[in-house]
Amino acid sequence: MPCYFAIIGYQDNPIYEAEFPFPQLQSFPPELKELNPFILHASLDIIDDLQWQVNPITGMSNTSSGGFLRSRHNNSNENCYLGKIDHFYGFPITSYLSYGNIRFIMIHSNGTGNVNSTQIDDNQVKLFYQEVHEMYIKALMNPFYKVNDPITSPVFDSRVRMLANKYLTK
Amino acid sequence: MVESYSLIGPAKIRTLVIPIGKWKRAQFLEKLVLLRKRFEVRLVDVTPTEDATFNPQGFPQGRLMFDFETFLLEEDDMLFLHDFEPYRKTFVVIGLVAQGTLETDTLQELETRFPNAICHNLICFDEPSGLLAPNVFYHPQSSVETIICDIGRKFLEALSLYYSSYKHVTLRSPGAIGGSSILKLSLTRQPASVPAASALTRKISSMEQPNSSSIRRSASLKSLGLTNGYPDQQRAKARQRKILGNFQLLAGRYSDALTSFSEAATTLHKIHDHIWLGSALEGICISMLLLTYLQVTFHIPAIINILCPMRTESRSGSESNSRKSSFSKNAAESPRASISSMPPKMNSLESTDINLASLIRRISERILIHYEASLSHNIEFAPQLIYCEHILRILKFMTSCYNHESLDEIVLRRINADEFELDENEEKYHNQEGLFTKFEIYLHAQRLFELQLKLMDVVSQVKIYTTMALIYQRLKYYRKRSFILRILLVTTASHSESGALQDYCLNADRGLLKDVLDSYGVFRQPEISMKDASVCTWVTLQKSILSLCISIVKRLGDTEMVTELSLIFLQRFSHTITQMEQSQLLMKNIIPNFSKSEKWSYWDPFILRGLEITRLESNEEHLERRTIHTPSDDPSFKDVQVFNPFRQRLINGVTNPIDKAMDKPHEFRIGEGAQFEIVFQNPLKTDLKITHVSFTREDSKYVNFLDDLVQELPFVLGPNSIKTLHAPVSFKKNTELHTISEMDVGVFDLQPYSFRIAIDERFALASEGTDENGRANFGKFVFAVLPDEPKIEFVSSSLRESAFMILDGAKKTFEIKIHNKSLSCPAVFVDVGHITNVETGLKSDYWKKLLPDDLYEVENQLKELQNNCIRIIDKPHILEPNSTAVLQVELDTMGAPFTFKKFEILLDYSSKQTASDSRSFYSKTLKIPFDLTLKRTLEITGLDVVPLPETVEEQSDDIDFVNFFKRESEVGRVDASDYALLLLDLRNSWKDALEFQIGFENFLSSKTTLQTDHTCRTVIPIKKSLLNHKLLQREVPKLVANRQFVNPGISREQLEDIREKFWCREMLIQKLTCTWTVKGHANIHGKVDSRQFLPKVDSRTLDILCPSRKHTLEVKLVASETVVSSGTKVDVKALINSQRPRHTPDEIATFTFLIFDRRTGRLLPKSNSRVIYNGNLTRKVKLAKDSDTGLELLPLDRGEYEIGCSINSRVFNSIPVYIRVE
Repeated sequence: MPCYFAIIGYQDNPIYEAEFPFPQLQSFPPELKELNPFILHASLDIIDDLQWQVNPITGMSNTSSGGFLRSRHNNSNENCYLGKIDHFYGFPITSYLSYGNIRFIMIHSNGTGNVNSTQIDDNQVKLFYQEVHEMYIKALMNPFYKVNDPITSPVFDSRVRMLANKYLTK
Repeated sequence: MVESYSLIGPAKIRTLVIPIGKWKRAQFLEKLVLLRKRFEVRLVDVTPTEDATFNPQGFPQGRLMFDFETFLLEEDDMLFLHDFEPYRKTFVVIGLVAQGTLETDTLQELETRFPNAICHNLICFDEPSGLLAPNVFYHPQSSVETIICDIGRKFLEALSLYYSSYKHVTLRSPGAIGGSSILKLSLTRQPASVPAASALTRKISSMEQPNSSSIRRSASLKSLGLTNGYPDQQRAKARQRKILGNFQLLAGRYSDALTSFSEAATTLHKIHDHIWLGSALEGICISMLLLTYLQVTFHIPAIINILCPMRTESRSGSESNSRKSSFSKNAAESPRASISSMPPKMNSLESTDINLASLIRRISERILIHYEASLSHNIEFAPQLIYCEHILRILKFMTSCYNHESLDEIVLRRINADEFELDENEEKYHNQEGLFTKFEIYLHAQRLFELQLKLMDVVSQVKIYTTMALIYQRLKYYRKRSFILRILLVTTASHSESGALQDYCLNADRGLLKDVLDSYGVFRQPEISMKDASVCTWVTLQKSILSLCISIVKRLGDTEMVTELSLIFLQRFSHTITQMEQSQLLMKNIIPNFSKSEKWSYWDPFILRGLEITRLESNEEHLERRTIHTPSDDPSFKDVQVFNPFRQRLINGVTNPIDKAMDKPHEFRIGEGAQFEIVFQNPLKTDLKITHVSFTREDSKYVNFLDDLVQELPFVLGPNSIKTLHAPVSFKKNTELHTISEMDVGVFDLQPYSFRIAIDERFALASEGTDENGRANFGKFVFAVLPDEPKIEFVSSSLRESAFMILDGAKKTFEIKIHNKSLSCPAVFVDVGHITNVETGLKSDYWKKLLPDDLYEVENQLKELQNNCIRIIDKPHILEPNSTAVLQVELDTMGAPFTFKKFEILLDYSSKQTASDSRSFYSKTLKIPFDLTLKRTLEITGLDVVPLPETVEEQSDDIDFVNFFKRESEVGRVDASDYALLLLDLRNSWKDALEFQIGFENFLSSKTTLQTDHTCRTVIPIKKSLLNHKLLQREVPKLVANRQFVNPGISREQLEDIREKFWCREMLIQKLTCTWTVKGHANIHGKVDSRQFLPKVDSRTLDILCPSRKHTLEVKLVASETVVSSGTKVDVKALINSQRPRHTPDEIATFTFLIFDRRTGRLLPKSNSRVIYNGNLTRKVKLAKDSDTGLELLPLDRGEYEIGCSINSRVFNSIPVYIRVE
């Protein structure tokens, strides 16, 4: 499915944005393409709300990972993945939250317009997020990179796209 | 508009208020507010009506609630819903009649204009007159409350009439009335499945029996016969029942309405009339809520218990559990399951036992299921509007309850009065868990996005979006709200026909647009505020929303707003748009509108990047600002001569070069031309045309551009460039100090605007409290304009080409002529001086590494040059305009070094009238340079001092010094040991023979002729006593005071040595005089400056001239006989003469006699057989006064002996005693 993925800094500024138009699938319709950043921006409200909940309401998400806050007590980053947090006209929106309050957020679409078939494979998406998070941390370790600045590295971009190809194509 | 989505909206009577006659908008709105404040009428206050159905007495606690509106926006479009939901109809029309405009046919006209309303009323704001119909009210006469009560009564009467017309009509669903034009519910997901009919029917029928008795309570209800008949009949009757419920809600009979709705719902459920069932269930919710508001207890209808089974729990009990369970996938919830879990005692539920808010929510879920279930039907389907509005109503209800723990009075009142904003007290509870969590409400709101909202008509869309925006705002989901508002804007923008609508939702001050733009951070001011500039933003969003807003306001024709937004676009996001877009914004949106209003100006604060000046007339002499020192100032103190270890660092330290450059004022004279270099910056990707440049009004008093500037304008700057404009200026008025910090610049033929000079960008945040918070570091240009000055010029001198040759030591006098060129200003001379190349060639720190005697030498020379070498006789004080003066200059080369080659006469003058500050004035300096060649004449090439031989008298007579001694001895006794001889070698370097004469104190040589290039030696007698100890002890004098010497690293002894030699030389220089005349030219004469030629004296000379300079004691040995025979006794006496009174009275020294063998020069041992003596050789003597001591010697061996002595083994006598033993 084509996806629109963004890493959002703590000032609601985009650090990295990418659209994954997989060749075997259709890309976003143009009107949605323009809307994508707006949808993601609006969903930040929900992340803000969710990140402080100890017992998240799993009405949207079908993961059972528990709240983001709970994960502070164990060492794994299992619970950074917030699952499906929102949807817009049936396009699900998943998100992943780093401990530095950097938001990884993605809008999924099947590209066919038939939203009923947009299903998320939580495990795959979670793996994708975790690997991107790892790469983000590596980018963070670059002494020339300042937190919250846009990541412009073409290597980062190509690797994220590679990961997307690996995990998000079905 | 939003008000229509209140949950209790269906219980409100839609009332249209219209103005009649001439009203001012504000006045009319004032009256409207008056009405709106009293929207609620208690039934107990309403006079009873005759008809039983809606008689207010039937339920005196009830209320009539009016919903005063001023427009009929959707009346006709919604006509198909009037049968289904009759509350949508506008029942009442109230005409507000302005003063004096009431006419008899006004009421009739109102009725004809609004035939659909059932109750027409007039409220006159006037004294009662003329028309006295029952529907006409006079305001000041009867209070607003009474009027509304009366209108309420009229409405109830009319309503019963209106209802009676419904009694025998077969009610059809909206789908049946509207046909295909009705938008069917368009879900983006699979609709809920249809409940299984058979199971339900069974259940319902089984529970009908116990209920039937209660249904038959009301007489009027019997006629409906709900429980009998065929399904079609049953359906019709149940629908009638539901309609009745709606009317009862309007009439305030809430408990009757509850009964009607629940009966209707029971039947409708049985016959699967989903859409009507949904509506009936909603009616039940509203009735229950209103009854709770009125604090009337009621039974939960059985049908609710079936459809939404619940446990009897106290309100505060484990709510969260029940809520949670209800949250599981609602859409998939099957009615079948709920029936199987039906509780046994369904009738015993009292209103106080349940959590009403939660129940309403669950009923709402159920209603939605039924609406969705109706989709499978061709006619009996739920229109999307009904579905949406229901969601919105419940959303609003949930939001009202949000962060309240229970349905307390505040919430109920708020729901009732339809107040949506939180007051401050409630804000405190924001984080508490309320009846519904934020997320629950949000999830409910998301249901709207399962629908294809785009398919609905614009009005409905706008209504939905605005309501959602409000709800998000209440939940503090500001980003969601912004998103919804954006969708709203896109929606309105895409419907070009809805211009009026746009105007409506984007009211006059464009609050909504500004709100959206602000929420996306478009109004941040990175060009002004440092803080905003440092914040990262999502430019994609900002750009997109901004272009959307521009297109909307453009369509609205609001040029001002278009300009404002385009300006923002260009100013803050120019880096994200292409050149094409930029020029379009500029040419289409900004520039045409700029000229219309004066409030617009060029937007970039960085347009003016610098201001520099170039002087056009470079040969203009320099003006110096001088300060008159008062006596209290210390003029001699010069900072440079005090050692300051930090000075070096100050020079090398980092200073701000910009400040330095900018702070130093440039000085100009009135009328002087100069060229300003004005640096402009163009941030645009298109050309920037600068059409106007001028000084501000304050600045233009002093300086103005010449007309040539007009030719330069318009000045075009290429894309993204910085370019300099050269503009000639002239200065108009004198000023002490003027600062230009801004200039008026106009671009694109627009109104000029003042811009400050932005030197560079600022990156660090200014500390708090300072008002300078802008993005730029501003510069300034400082200059002073001086008034007219006199101008003196050098006319001529008596020398040819200002150059001459002079013999060393000679004098010369010449004249110079000067002229004051100015025709108006007299020149007042401040100072007339001169400077030579010797002075200018010196470094400022020449004194630092010199020894004291060398320094004296150098400074003495400078002093000589300054004071004696060049003298100007008749110094003038003032030179009148256009007058000439002659100066006499006397040059004396005596004392001038051979390096003296040039000198300048300096004339400092001023007009003295400049000084506004009396302590300072401006002065000019006229320099008149001269060249000279100094030719060597008589030189002293060598110097030697020898002791005077004892036999002076024997010398021949023609020697000068012998004659001198002879003359001296005639006067008195001459002791040869008092004199020494000074031998001077003189050389004639001039091309002619010179005749010279040397003098030393009272010695004067005879005139001697010296041929060219010849040298001769002259002998001069010097009296030794000229050098005494006191003179030698003096410090080397310092000619310049207040210098801080750093120790040059010489020891005290060396210093003493320097001192003694210095004074010795000084003595020689002072006493020695030498004059010369060129042989054959008596008028060419001069003096020899011995200081120039005399070398430093050496120690030997010093020893000769002052032999005892190191001794504090003088010992004189006297022997009784000098030639004795062996064995003869000799007495030797030592006279100790204490020369200096520096010895302490009790100081005792060791005195020792020393006996040498003169031939070998060896000291004889203390005990020897050659010379024997009595007593000790060593003895103690007192130094306080002159004393003597003696020694008796008995020489035994023959030979020559030398007797000496020493005091303290340090001081030895100078003249020994010799004894020859024969």
